[in-house]
Amino acid sequence: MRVQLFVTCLVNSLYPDVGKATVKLLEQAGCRVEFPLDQTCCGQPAYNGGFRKEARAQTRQTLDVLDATDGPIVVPSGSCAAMLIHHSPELVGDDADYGAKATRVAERTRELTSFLVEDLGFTPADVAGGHTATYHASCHGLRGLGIKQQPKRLLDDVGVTRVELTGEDECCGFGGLFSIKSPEVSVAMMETKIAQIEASGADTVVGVDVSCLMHIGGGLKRRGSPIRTRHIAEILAGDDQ
Amino acid sequence: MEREQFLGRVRAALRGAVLPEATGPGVAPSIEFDDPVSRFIEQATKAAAEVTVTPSAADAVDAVAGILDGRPFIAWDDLDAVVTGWEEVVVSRGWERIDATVDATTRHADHARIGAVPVGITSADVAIAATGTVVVTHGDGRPRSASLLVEDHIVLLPADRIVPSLADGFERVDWDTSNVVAITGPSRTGDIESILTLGVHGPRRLHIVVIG
Amino acid sequence: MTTFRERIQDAFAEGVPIAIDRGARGHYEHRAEAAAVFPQMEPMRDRARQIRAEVLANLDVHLRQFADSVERNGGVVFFAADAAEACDYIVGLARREGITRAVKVKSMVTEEIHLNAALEDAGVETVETDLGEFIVQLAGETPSHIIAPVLHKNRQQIGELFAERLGVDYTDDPGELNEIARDYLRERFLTAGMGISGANFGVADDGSIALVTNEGNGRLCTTAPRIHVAVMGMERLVRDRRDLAVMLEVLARSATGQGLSSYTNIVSGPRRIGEPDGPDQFHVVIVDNGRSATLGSRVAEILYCIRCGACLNACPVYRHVGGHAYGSVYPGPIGKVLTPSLYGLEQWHELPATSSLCGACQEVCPVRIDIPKLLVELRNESTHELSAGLRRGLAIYAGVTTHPRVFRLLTRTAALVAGVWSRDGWMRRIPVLRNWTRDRELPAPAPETFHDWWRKRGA
Repeated sequence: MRVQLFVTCLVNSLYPDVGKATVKLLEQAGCRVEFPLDQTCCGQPAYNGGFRKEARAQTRQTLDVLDATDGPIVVPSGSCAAMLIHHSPELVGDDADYGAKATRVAERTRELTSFLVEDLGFTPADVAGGHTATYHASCHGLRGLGIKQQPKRLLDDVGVTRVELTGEDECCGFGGLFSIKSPEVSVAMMETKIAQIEASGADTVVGVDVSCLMHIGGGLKRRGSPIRTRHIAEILAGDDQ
Repeated sequence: MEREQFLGRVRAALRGAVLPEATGPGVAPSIEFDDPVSRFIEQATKAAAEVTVTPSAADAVDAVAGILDGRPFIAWDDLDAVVTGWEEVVVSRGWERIDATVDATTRHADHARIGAVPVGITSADVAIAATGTVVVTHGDGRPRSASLLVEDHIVLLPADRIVPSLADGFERVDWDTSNVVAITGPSRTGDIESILTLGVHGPRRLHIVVIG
Repeated sequence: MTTFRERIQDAFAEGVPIAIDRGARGHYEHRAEAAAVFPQMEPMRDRARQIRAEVLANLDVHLRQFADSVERNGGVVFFAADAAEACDYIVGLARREGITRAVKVKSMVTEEIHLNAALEDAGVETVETDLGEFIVQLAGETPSHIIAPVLHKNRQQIGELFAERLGVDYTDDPGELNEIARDYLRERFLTAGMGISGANFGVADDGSIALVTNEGNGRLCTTAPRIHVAVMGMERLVRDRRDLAVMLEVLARSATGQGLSSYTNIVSGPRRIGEPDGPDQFHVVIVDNGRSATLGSRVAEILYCIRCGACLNACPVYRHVGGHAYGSVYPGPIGKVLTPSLYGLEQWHELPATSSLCGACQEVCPVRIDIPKLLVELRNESTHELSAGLRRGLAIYAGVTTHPRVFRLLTRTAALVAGVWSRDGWMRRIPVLRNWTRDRELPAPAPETFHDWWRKRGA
């Protein structure tokens, strides 16, 4: 099966290994991965920030790129997938042409773990590992797309030692521009999340969104914590041995 | 503001309004139980009501006597609809019933007098199994004070008046009155540190005598 | 006036009471438990949302019917365009009737119109009777939560307050504090000339008001005094008792996790001829105060709200900052939309800006209000309030990302030079994004973008 990878701007610049792991995983699952080169940003930060004009421009650019392709569009990010599925159609819905593009793209878009579990029924190979992981349920994927069980099931299927996280579905405090517009609250929420992670006994926090992991990881690093953050693709692809 | 001017502003606002479409199921889901009476008893008890089940009206009278414990009470006028011969019972047992009529010209004095009576006895026209709720329809001959100003509120409830849901209950109520109250357990609050205390401003204890 | 951010910083400096987080979480869990044991919860919420939509779509028609019904029952209706008109009416009524003492049921709309202050100024002693509101009133403070007004205080503080203000012996036992309040307020209920309540719902076809309480004060205030005044936000209507039953099924479950509260008090007019007790007069004051403007705005959906407080309990921002920092009668997610909508974005734009859009509020809202969407709508109208740096940065980012070749060039450049400013994948301490780096490390661009890796890899 041919799939299009929408790798997301954060992964592209800051966490390309997540993108590489995603490719590896999809190829293991028997997919032929294509990467439309003109992709940039789905428009989520602008949209959330209230910059509608800019968000529309980014959406149009993204839709032009993706609509010129075929096959499922796989995204290693719950929030970017939710953006393409729920918000892009509304953003450009007033334009007949882009409205249609947005609908078509939304129908093809799948977050990575839902794609693996629900569309492909794919179980990755067992991964050996001496780590104990806990799963943080990123908000937009959770509430926008119902992503909660799929990542945990995949982790369990590949033999990762996993502990439950109290407050798993509480927001980590990133929220895009929120993290720098309202830093006090953002950090307070991060500290609550870190306290819950420390209490879980895990040495690794796993998520489906590098934005959350960047925020949580930045806090962990600042306090010198040995706890690591990993995107689920890296674990499932066996890159975290 | 004049009514029509006020409503005109509302209508004008609606003209350009961006309201989500009114989509939905069209009707409320129905609520049913295999054994509504058991469900009622279980839920009322959970809500801290003291529930007594009596097979007959005569047993109900004994239950009331036990709760009254010789104290004076205020009561509704039409309790013989749930306990035949109620008036005779009151007399023969020597119970002390206090009148609860509030006269508009002596309101404060009447309330002071009525407010000192420890027990109130009412019936309930309908009760809700889902939540253990009794629906108390005040009105003519049915003072509100009997279910409100007292320490112990006794509700006489024929079991065949228990229906599954609130919607069912609302259909059975005679609404031609100024006050209907759905009561679920005694008065309570969690305002202090979310700790539950009972008996704040309303009755401390709710006694439900299920008859039949 | 202080900014929201300043008030949050102050709250953090003082230490937001742990009780807020604990209390909010408690309510949140109770709501989840209630939903779990109520098989019809989801379709009931769907129907509740639909009812709100249907009622608002013809609100003026239903309001007219409601007013006619109230009058038919012997009540009096006053339409108040704003807070001043509402207060003037009620104060005028109190004066004409020689009222010196009023007892009040907890009501958000009466706080919104500042009714207590207006009455006190006119010489009417106005006593809050909801235990939490009574405590808040004694302390001279404002409530911190719309359902649990005194969430921010512990029992010792309340004990001290009672000892000081009521002249009783100190106790911090909740049961004993309860008794003290019961006795003190009982006397007020039975001697007040006016009882003032809000209205959880007004029923259009029969002119009744539904009041939902647990303590019994809602009944005492609307039975003992000779005049009952109900103040109602104009959007709080249902059409009939079938609608009312649906709304009641989701209200208490969402607020406290109860199936129904202790008292659902349905009042239709003053006492009728022949009835043994009840008020002699019944007035309903229907309040606009910015609601019609909200109805005509892009955030009209916020008027679905039935004031259950579930969104506050779920909100991580509320749990961390508490209710007072919001600076408004309505805190929490509901307040973030309602406050700017009623009072203006110019003064309140910070409220909708201070959210991570996590969506926990929408998830628990009994009528499924899409609060995140409404927050974005308000942000659309207030980007000019953000810092110039942020706006410029966003504009540049948008420009770059709509030109793919520029995007690839810039990200490649950042990757190549990142090594200068970073170590082990993290940025060195340079004065960029101080709001981030004050408390968190900032990741550095990777040495090679995914784009470049893919290109080199070949097809």
